[in-house]
Amino acid sequence: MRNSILKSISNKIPLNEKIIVLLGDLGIFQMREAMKNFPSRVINFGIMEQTMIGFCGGLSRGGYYPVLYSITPFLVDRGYEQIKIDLIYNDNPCLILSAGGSFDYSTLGPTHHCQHDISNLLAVNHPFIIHPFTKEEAVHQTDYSIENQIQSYLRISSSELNFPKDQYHNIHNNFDENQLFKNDLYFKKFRLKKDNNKKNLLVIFGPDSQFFKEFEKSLNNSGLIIFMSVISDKSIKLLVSEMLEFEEVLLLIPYEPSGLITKLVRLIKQSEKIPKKILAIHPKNYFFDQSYEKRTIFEDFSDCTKII
Amino acid sequence: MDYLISTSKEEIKNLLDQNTCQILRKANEVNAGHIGGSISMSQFLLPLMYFLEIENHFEYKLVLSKGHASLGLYSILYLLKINKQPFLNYCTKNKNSFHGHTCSKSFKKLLASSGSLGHGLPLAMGYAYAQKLKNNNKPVICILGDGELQEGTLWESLLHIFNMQLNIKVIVDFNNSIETNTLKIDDAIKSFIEVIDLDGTSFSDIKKGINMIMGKGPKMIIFRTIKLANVKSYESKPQWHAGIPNKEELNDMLNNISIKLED
Repeated sequence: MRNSILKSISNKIPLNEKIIVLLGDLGIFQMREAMKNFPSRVINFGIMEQTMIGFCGGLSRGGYYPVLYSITPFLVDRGYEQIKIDLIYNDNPCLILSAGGSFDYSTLGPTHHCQHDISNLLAVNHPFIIHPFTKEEAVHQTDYSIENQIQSYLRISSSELNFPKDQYHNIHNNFDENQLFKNDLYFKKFRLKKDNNKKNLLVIFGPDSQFFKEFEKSLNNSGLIIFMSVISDKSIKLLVSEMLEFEEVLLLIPYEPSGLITKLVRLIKQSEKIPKKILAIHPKNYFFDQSYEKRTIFEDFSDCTKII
Repeated sequence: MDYLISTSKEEIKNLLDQNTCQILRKANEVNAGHIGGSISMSQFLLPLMYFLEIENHFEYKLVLSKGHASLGLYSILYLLKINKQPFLNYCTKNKNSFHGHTCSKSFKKLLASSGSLGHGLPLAMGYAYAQKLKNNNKPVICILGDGELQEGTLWESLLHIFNMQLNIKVIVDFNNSIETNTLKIDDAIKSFIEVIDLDGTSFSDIKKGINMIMGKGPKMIIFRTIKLANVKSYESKPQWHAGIPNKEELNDMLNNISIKLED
């Protein structure tokens, strides 16, 4: 996913002079040609994430669209105040490409884990958070953000979703596959081809959802499956309207879920007809201070929060 | 080329006097404001803005990284008739109120709303870089406090600003805000980059500073100022960083204002 996004951005740099790429000492190899050909617009800014984010704020204010690439905890934890103030509060749009969310660097210990990025960004009103399921989608989402120069946070996962598409009907797309960059992407809906009278809904948030034990079983037992690629006010509103049609809802959230749950509950509470049961599966909030496989953390250390 | 400020020293003294009085009165009226740093900063910012705005209608951008000194900036904007609204609505309960830290809608040349120390310089640097790419050489003025110099982002930014040769004028309101501090931050900076060290109570030094600002390339200027300057017996006392004078203290302060502006 990383390589596909960086390759796509490299191809866009000659065509779009508004793009300035700042690397936090990451992605140098993939961007080497672009750095050579456009040294003033593709910069290895160094290991100073807070300053780099502030710099992005200034570039954005100066009329450019900065694309920022580094590792999730160094950007979102260390640079949290800069994201909050210099980008969001001061309304300076920028695309943050964040590599290694949750437990992509699972074997490297808590310094490199960051499962609270999305919740923390939601807490400071980040308007557009993306966790694409495939590299194709990641490239489309990158294109969309650049084309529209929006405030955007794209969580690049080391995993892609392994989904048996042939067993499902793709019953809804709210966008034209050929003009993806012209649409903001909310979600895709799939229904099992056989036995589709089930009254429960499965919602998955990003590709790491597949590592929860509940994933396989829920795929076969759910009347509808929604893939949430984007967390925004609009997408959450749409999701809640779908949730209200079901008796039971299972949310597989492969990160710290409080920010998301708060937003969902706020909207659900305003409705008259609500599901009988809503459960969220998510990782435990631990410091995983040993070397773990990523899959193991999701399989063996998950919590279930009963929302309703 | 030498730029001359044509306003007389007496006129600037008179403006500083009015500015000091109205900052103190406003803080007492709304029970808010960082008066110490607002008044220390005004020592050089008032004549500077008089030169840039009134005498020359100069094009530049401003970042008030020490965003807590908003009352000082708003007072100057009021006094120089640039925008009266921020001062009039400072910490009021009106719909159009301005809170206690600097808001970008107060002045069209402000690049950002500010208040968290250490944020201004990276942002100013990004904007200056954008201007450089567009071959636009208008300066970005970024005002820091001396306490803020301890922030890591200052040091990180300096690594780039001089390397990129950006047209940024970093001005430090050096009012010794952290008086118990054992760090010799000014010496540390001077060992790192060239710094112009000026007296904020000297009219000729302020003029020198203005000429530095009008020059090309990155510059760092320290203005030695005094917290709650010109208010005798209240100067340089840490409690007036964010302390608000009550009615009695206000009257005493107003009776003890004596503007010092050396030649």
